[in-house]
Amino acid sequence: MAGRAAPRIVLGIGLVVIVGARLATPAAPPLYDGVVPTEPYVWLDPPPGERGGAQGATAEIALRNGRSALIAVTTPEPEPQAQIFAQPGGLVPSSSATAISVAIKPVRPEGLPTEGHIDGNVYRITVTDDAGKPLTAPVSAGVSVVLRVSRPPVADATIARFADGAWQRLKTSSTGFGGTFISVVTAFGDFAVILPGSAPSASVAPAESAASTASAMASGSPSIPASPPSTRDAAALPGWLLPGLGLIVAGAGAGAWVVRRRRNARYRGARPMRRR
Amino acid sequence: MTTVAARPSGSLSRPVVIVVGLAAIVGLRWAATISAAADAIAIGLIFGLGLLGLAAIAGWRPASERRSSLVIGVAGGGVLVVLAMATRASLAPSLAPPGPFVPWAGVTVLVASAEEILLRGALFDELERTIGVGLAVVATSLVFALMHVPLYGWGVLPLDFGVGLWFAGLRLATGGIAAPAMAHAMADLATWWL
Repeated sequence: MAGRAAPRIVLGIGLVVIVGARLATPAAPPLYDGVVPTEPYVWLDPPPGERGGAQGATAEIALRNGRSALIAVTTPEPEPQAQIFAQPGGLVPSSSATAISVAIKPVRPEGLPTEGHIDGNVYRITVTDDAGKPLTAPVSAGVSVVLRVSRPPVADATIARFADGAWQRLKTSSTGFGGTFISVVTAFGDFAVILPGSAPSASVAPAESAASTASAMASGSPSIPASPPSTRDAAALPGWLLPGLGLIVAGAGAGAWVVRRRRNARYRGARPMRRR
Repeated sequence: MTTVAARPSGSLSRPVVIVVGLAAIVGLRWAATISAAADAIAIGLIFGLGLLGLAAIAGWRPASERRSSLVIGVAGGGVLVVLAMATRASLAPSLAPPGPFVPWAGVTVLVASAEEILLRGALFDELERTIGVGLAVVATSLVFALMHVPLYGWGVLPLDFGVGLWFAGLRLATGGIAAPAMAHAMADLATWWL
């Protein structure tokens, strides 16, 4: 590939790939990159050494001509742990309604996932009109729930909704920032982030216990330890990793030095030319 | 009397050293992040300096840039930001990172520039000489996408590969790294508001 057309060809192909990728994952940032400072996670039931006091959020949103306005409700942390967004007109209230109530509340889980474990808090999201009617949303409305993992970076996480006594996994994509993940939802209820594998030292304690414990045991889910999960444990580094990487860095540096030295030797051995 | 020698070509040893060094630095950043060895700003600062050090070890030296490079870079970054705004507008999740803007922005610009200096600068130069410009474009874009997998997962590959091609196109269009570095920094900084 050469010539003056090359930059245009590369830019064109790049643009096509970017647009395709963006359409596939509309929640993606301009680029998955950058520095990601993260706030400590705030737990409903904090493990030892972690911060407690998780809070929810509520909002009353007036209807305009019977249609819902833009809805954006987030929990109050500097880096919100739970968020819900809905486009204008995305929710369908009853005809007599004049306002919509949106509430996000951290709650204890009513059950455990059969695969993986819950990371962070479970958030109960309720959306009702002022007639008390619970609202749902069509897929086309693009109502989305955003949840943050307790200890980013996490590359593989799924948002799930608790329905019919089980955690239903939703199509999830990374927002690329601060370990937040997003799912488009059509119904509300309890939402949580599910991480693969079992929590090595702990897991979220369900709200009730006897019934859900029996249910969990019957369905083959893991036993229920006492405290919330620690993804730090899940992501614990093998002891050899840091020394190994250090050796690789040293090796790369040494390799570069050798390459440079040999190249300089070749330059020195090159034939001199007399300048006219 | 002046000694003149044609620069050696055909050896992949230097590109391999760059890629191995980059993999090691990315691995160390991932390990430091996941173990919370330091705050993200400090880790980002060390990461950016590490990339610059690797580029220096690889013998990269800045070339003269066209005056139009920065303008082209701003336009290239603007395209990425507009595309992101167009697709994110309806979802509008709050993604602004916490903390003061200035140190975050400084380190973000450093990291974006260092990535461009290493990939579209040092590695691109070496690969262009050894395997040709077409494969250099593909290889540097692939490396760029792969280096973000540890922090963001495999789902980033299509977008970051496409953006890598975009940056490589800017590099080809201007002949230097100023344009891709400007576009890259703009795309990263935009996450504060988007």
